[in-house]
Amino acid sequence: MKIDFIKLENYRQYKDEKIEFPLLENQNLMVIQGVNGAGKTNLLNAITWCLYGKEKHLEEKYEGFPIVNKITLNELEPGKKCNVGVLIQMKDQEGKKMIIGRSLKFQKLKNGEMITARDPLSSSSDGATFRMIQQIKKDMEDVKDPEYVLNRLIPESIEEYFFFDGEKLNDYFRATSGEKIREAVFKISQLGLLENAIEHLENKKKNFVGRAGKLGSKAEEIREALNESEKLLKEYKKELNSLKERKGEAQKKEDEYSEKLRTSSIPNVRELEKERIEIEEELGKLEERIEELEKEKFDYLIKIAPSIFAYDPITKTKEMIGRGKEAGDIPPDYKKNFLEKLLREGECICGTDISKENECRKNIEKLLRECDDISNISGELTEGYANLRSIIDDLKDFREKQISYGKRIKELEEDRKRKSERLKKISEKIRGIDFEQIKRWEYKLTEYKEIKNNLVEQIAERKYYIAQEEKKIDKLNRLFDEELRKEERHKKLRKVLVFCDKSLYALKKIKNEIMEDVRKEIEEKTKSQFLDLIWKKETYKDVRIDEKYHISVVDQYGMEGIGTLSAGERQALALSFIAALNSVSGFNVPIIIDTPLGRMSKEPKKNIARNLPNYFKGKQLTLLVTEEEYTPEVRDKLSKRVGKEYVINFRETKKGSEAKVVAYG
Amino acid sequence: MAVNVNKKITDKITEGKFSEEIEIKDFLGEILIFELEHCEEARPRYMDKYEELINKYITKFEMKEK
Repeated sequence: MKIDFIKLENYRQYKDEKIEFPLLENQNLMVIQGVNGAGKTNLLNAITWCLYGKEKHLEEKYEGFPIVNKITLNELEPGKKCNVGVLIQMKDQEGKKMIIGRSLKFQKLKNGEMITARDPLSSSSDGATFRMIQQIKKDMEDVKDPEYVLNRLIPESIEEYFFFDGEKLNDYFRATSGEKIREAVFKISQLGLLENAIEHLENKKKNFVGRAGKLGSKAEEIREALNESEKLLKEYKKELNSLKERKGEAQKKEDEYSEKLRTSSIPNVRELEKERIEIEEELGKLEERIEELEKEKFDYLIKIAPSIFAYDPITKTKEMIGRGKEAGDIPPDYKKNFLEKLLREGECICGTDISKENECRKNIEKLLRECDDISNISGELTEGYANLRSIIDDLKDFREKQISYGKRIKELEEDRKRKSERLKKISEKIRGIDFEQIKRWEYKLTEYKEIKNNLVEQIAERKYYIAQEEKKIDKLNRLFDEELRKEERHKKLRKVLVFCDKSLYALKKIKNEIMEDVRKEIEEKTKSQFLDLIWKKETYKDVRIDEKYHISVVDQYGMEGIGTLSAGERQALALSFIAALNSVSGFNVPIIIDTPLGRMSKEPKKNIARNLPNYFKGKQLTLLVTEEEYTPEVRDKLSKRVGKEYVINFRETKKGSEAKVVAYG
Repeated sequence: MAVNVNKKITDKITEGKFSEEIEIKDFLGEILIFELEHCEEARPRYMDKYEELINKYITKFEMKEK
């Protein structure tokens, strides 16, 4: 899918603009150059506003201002209305068109105030009109449920992996980003399709059970319990999704304010925020380590608990066997089967005939009686003695191990406490800075952190309830199946349910396998692209993405090296990761990157310019760059792939600012 | 404007080791095609379609049993 053109009408600094995009397969790279503040990021905002009704990359200087062009606003006569609109025409692989448009009307009141003239049919909160028209054969037809259809094509939850700001790519390496990325991978690899099939099949199975007619009293009881549990489970899952969404929003806000502090004009604030980010990352790892150790300690206790409770009988048994060994009773002097053989053959080893009753035979029979009991268990006793000794030895280590676990956990907890206290101090210091805006950002950051932490607790709680309910449903299903087995008339229903279960098992297995395959594929691609892009070829050797989607870089000494990456290297890693994510996705969506080379120095810039288009092969790629990024060398490296090249001409007047997008040169 | 199918999913179904006596692979293939074809609709009538497909495969299985 490619963008054919974008039309902007009175949208921020764009009064009336049409930007055509390149559609050729081998020249689908577009470059739009502009100085800082010219309106590059607002092109990105225009796209997200058109698609989702939200300006997702809005800079602070625009916050709170209406989206209508200021010149239009000033020139508008009182009582009159004006329209703000963004229209995007796209084309799919077959050349079929899709037009997406959003518009919002404003009215100037007599007192000069501007108000929104809401579309009475609008379903969006700002009152905008949203339309989507699709080409069906040769005709253009309105799409009935545009928000839904659009969300299938370019899901809002993952738009930031298609339309993004290169300067903010650093966020992917935050400890808290793993879950967000995992969810994006899930959506990006179309696993939602399997999710839908699983959900629909589960519902269908419930439907079969529900309409099964009259059952036996016990089966009826189970069916009712199943019904209740399933309702509850559905409710918990719905709550969990909503909590996760809210957590994601809080996280995003937290990241935004953290970024504001990290890039603020006050050096002290910048340093403090960087320190906070580092400490929070370390704290995350500390929490994981404490959790691991506590689990190890618990598992050890579970393993050793039976020996502790049976300590007395164990030591007594060991002593008894020991005494038997010392006395020479264990193992016995004579083997039972040896004495039996002598009696059977009627001849002693000394040659005496013992086939008949005589003194010698009587002696052997006496020996046999004495060793009979002990001989039966002699082997077990000898082996048992060794085992008991090993158990007692383990118990001797018990106290030591407990102390060691306790000591290690305490040390980590103290470290955690120190770090948490330092975080409090950092927050206090930032709040103490005599700058209203900084105080406000810090206050907001703390507020969103608290909201997020609260949501994390609620999420954990829901997850626990879900696990419990799933266990219960599993058990009830087994009981239900047992009941159905008892009656011949339910044979067909059983077959249907077994068929559903087998299919559900297969779908879930496929889903998990794909998730893992995709992770490995992204890891592999990120690694090869990153090692290709970076200039310190000998320093970094590996890139890993774990199950929780935490990204790490391994240096030549096998150590974690993400903390030592320069800003440019981090950007190269993020670009490699995002390109990998896009290449394994099933989505064919245009990619737009704002400031892709912002943090790079001269050589890496050339390197990335040479490689980047290849990483997004087959996709329409638009780069929004500054003059500093788009050096003659970079331009030269990209030239073969560039299909269109524009410059944003920006002018400021007394009535407001205006940007014009004109062809380069 | 159709979304591309992720080939990984269809490959997993084809290569997966699932119950042979009931043709689960074919069934999964059919329900996923249905999901794909109807993913652009807000409320697909999946209940009827799933019932139709399940009955089709159960009948096939019963025929085989006989």
